Amino acid sequence: MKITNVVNTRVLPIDFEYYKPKTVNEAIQLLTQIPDSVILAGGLDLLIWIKMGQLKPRALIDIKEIKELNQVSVINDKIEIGAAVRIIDLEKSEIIRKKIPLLWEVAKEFSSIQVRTMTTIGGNISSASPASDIATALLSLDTELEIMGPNGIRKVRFGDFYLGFRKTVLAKGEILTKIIIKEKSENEGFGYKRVARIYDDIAKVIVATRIKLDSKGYAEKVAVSLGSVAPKVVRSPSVENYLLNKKLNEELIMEASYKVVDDISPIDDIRSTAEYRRKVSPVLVKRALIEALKGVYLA
Amino acid sequence: MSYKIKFKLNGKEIETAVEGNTLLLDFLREQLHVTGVKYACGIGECGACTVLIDGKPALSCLTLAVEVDGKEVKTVEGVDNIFSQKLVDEAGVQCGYCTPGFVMLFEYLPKYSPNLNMSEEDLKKYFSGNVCRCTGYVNIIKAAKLSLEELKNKSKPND
Repeated sequence: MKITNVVNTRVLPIDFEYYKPKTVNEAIQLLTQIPDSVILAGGLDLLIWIKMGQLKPRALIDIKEIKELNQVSVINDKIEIGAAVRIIDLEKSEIIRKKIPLLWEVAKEFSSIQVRTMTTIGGNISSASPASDIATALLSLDTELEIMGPNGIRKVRFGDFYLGFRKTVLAKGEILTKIIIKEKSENEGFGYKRVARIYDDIAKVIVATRIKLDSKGYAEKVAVSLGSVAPKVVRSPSVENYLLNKKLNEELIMEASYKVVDDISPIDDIRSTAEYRRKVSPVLVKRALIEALKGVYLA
Repeated sequence: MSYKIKFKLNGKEIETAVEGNTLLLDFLREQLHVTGVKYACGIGECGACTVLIDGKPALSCLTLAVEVDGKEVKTVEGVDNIFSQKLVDEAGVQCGYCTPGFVMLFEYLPKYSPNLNMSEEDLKKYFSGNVCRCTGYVNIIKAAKLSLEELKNKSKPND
């Protein structure tokens, strides 16, 4: 089928080759050898970009059925999630529910059923949207990524993965293979809040939080991350440092939450305005931190 | 570029060739004349093109035809579930364009929630990826609720 010079969502306007390698190494070889080849996973971003004429790849390398990318395993206190694991599988996983409750919460609320069955966790985070709920959550957790490429395996801290809007550290020929997350420890609680026009819409603002208290009840670790308020998902050191090593209560959290505006740089776009985002971010930070604090005491 | 594929469509084995850039939606409608699957938004927002691939719901407007090689595809033509009748009984259908998508997603419900315990709120969330512009959803959700009740009664062992 060939329709050219028409931007629409009906057809894929360009022809391309399609490959379905069986192993990661085979996929890396194809990616390295074929110029303008791209990785196809869930396809929810990629195929829309091709439809809209924003991307004109020569070949699609379909990695979503590679076995080694479809496993969830527990190794000591870490959970390794294959990059091609679907969001719905995270939602249905007892391991994720018990050991990474924040990620489970996000997976469960993620878009629609159809999108959850198609979207892969690796695809969602490597498409590097600042409005990714999954990425916002991973940024608050102790997350590390395993990347395989022509030069072997390397590991990257999740906080170092994004270079900017739609930009990651992934080089040509490299594939994100594993998302490695430390399991929840004792005295740890989490919060997750978002505002969107309707339930399964992409969010105007996303906040994920994590609080860990020491044995005396002081905040040993505070993580606050936000989505949709900067070119990439961001942490809020101003809020975190304000609360660190203190005994937390609602008043203190309220004071701290206003500091979030120092760490975000929202814009006006199709979904919201910079002004609204600046006003609603502190509110969501406050609510998500209170949720996390309550979570510690409930655990 | 053309690719040979072999797959099952509604239980029937099909072997044919497809272009790499042909979407599953177009392949089903144009090449196989299975027109129950509908095109609406083309970007994964509306659910009208929902089919089941190996039992799991997928958006055929964002799936390549070549991807279903070796798999089993189900469309509304191959489905006979209680929800279809309930949609008719409860006036959950007006123009009918979105209906196949809703029916296909319901087909997956017993797998998604095996105990079939879903509140009205759960059902609204469950169908949040299917857009209907006529009915206002009230009768669709009602039909889904009644279907669930009937499914539950059927699965109860007779004493």
